[in-house]
Amino acid sequence: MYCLCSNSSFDDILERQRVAPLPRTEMINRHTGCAQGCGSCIDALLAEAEFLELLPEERATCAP
Amino acid sequence: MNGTNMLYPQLFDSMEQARWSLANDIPWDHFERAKLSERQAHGIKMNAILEWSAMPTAEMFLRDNQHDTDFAAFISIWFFEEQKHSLTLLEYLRRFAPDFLPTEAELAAVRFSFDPAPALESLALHFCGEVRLNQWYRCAREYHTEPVIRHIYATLAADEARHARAYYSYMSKALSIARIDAAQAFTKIGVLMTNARLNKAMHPTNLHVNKALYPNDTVNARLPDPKWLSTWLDDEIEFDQVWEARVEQGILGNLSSLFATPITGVRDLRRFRESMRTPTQEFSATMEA
Repeated sequence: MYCLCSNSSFDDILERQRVAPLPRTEMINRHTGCAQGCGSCIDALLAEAEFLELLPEERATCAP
Repeated sequence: MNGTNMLYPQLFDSMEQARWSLANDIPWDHFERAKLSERQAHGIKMNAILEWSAMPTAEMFLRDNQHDTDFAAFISIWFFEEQKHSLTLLEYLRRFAPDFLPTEAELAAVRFSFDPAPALESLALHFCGEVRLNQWYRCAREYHTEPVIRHIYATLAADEARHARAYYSYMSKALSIARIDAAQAFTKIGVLMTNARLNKAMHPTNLHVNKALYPNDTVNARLPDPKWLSTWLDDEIEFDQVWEARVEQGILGNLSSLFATPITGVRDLRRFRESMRTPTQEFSATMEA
């Protein structure tokens, strides 16, 4: 997918998150333009980040 | 929705959640008169009339999509929101620059019949149009210094991006139903709408849509100031190559996702389109994915 409000592909956004992992809200605020944009991509981006285990708080929750 | 793959219910829900109020969500009391020039008010007038042209477009979509009740239902939302854009700009002029309010006749002039067109091509055309309009309005927001119109253009830009995402969803659905036909239509329009040599202001309002009315058959030709758009883009908001590249990437990036194949430039899209005419391993693999 390509996020118009971020002028970036999902891959690029998720790569930024991989390099500099942030919690959900901060990820959207810092790595995307979604907060000032249309918001259509937020759920899908967070789902992908969660699936790829790129959300720090998710990793902490799942740790043994 | 019982037994169907209709997109309309979920789009209705998401767009209703995102909807803003013309009366309450535009900061009308923040207006700063010294920051609005007459030329800028003229541009707002032209944009209000351009948004009004959603009316003949909605009529075209409903006429050309009688086979697709799901998409036709979505057009009710799209039409409502585009007319609301026009009304918001009209309300701005009514409050702050009433001399620039369009007449009813000027609004009616952009409502004219479009020739029947292939539904999938119209779908892709308007996806590209929304991507472009999103960037035009973001650029217009940066150009203006008056706070209320800056807020309005940012709000409209977000709506246009949401519309593009909805059109994308219907393109994805079309690919799942008629893969080859849809791919041919979408790549054809993608090539057309990213080719700056053909037409610098590549937007549906610049296309000839009624042979019987030629050459007065583009929306822009029927504006009170038909030369306004190119002047606005080049000399006023300065929609330069940086902005143009964002439009191109918005279109190509989404087509790349749609076809599940890397498309980083117009050349890639042309090559992918060529591969459909003489199916290669690449195209066959993509189409079977």
